[in-house]
Amino acid sequence: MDEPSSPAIEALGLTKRFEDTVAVAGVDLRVGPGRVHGMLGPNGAGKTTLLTMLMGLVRPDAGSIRILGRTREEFGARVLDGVAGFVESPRFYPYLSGRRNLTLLAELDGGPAASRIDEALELVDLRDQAGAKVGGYSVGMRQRLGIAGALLRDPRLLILDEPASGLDPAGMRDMRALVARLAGDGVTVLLSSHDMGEVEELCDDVTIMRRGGVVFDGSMERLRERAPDPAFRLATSDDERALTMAGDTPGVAAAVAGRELIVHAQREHLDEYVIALGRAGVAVRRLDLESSPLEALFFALTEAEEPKEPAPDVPQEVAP
Amino acid sequence: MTAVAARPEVRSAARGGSWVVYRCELAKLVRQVKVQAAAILCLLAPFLFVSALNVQSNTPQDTLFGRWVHDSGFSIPLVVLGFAGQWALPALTSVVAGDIFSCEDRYGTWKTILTRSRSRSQVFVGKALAAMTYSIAMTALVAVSSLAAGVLLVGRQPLIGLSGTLLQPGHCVVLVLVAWATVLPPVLAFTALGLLLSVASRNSALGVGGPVVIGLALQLASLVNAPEVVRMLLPTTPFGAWHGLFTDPPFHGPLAQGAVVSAVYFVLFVGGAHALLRRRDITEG
Repeated sequence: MDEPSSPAIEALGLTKRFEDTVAVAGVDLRVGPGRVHGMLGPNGAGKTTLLTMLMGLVRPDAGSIRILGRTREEFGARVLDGVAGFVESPRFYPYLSGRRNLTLLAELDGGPAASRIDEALELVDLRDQAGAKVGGYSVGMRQRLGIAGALLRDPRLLILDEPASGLDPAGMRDMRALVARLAGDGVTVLLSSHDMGEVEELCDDVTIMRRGGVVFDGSMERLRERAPDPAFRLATSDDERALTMAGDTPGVAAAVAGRELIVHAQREHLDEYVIALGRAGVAVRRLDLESSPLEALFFALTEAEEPKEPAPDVPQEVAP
Repeated sequence: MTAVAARPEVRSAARGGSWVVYRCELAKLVRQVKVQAAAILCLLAPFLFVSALNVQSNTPQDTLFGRWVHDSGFSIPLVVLGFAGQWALPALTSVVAGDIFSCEDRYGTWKTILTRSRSRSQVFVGKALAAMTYSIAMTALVAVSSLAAGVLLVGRQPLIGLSGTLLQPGHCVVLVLVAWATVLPPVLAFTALGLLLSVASRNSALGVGGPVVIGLALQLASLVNAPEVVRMLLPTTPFGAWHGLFTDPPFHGPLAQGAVVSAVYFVLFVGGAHALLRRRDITEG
């Protein structure tokens, strides 16, 4: 079975075509044990197809998958023992109650899963609504029920596709706290998300996909190192002078964007620049964060004409 | 995480996996309104049928044993069987068989159940067995209900067989139950057709309606001047194979023939459905 140090997920050369469309093109993915690994990419990047292949829902045209040290060829459906999660939004039988749905899933899982139902419902704050039919649940409630369904399996590897999707801000906060808590308990998490902030908050490592390929794969630290300066939207009483002063301030670059300026600078340089503007009699009327460094890098990686870092050259940084 | 994080090894319980899926499917089926409604219909329809016959003097003479509906209660389950074989049993079986796979597409729950350490084959076998159980249960329910309706509302009079011999009540009960049992092979073949349409179309309307339309079309085909071999190979022909039980001497050739034909269709349809499900990429649903 799996060695303690072996990757929780090790996928090599995964490829999937749907007719003429290459959804995933030779992707390698390694997720270290106990790590929280983010999957980022715009719509159509191949994230969901990759996750469905990992979960055995879609057969790869090429490549191999090893999950918790096991392959589907050797273990069949048992390859998913210790693995839980959902791809796209979790779905349930609408004519059954939330509790009844979980009971059926627990029965499919076997073992002690049924004994975890109450606690799982409690954890996702659905205990009071568990008797109601799922057909009447909101999107957020179904999302939370999906997490509860995953927790029944007492997973060592949790695969979550947009887990905060459809949740209100409080639900998002709770969801992130839950993921962080599971990660703290040593559960490996593979988290697909559109939200750079969520990935930045939760993940140790990140894979960024674009058009079926990997454009970045490595630790969050490495991603941060590569990130450009944050961008700020600045409105002043004298933009022309502010633009000139930006050129004279070390570490600050500015450009006109409509009736405002876009300023790229690290925070300490930005502070110096703003103070200098004040001393020069230029009033700062508005200063907003336009994009965080990681967002800026994400857009640069995923919207560039060609991938900056083609998959074959991506150095894999698998945590021990 | 407290107890949830206690993490004893999750066991796949591969042993008996199909049995687990089967139990889950049955638990789902008994909670479905359509199944409950079908069971009530199977239970009450024969009584309503006999009640309607009792308030009118004429009889369904164009149906086998139809002329005896006022004279022997044992004719009732046989008249019902004659009607049922034409369209009602294919329709009844397809209510579940035609929907049991496609409902997962409709609800979007394939990804939910196929990521639970159960193989697709186990899921397929469990679902197929549940659909067959439903088909057999509903057929048995109609059989028992129509026999009870006949006996309770018409009486236990002897029945005149197809060769003119008088069949005593005890013998009639056995023959009626055996006659109903002989439609199980074609019922299961139509169940398998429903399964195939359900898997292939991913559409419950096609899965449920398909077997009914096909059954009716084949009934019509059997009425036209088709070669005997074609008529013999139709999956609807075995629904009438029980007629030989009520002759003197009885002939069992059509029963054996019908069982073989039904078995061939069953294997083809179930095998096709299984192959389709195993090879399918679950991208939606």
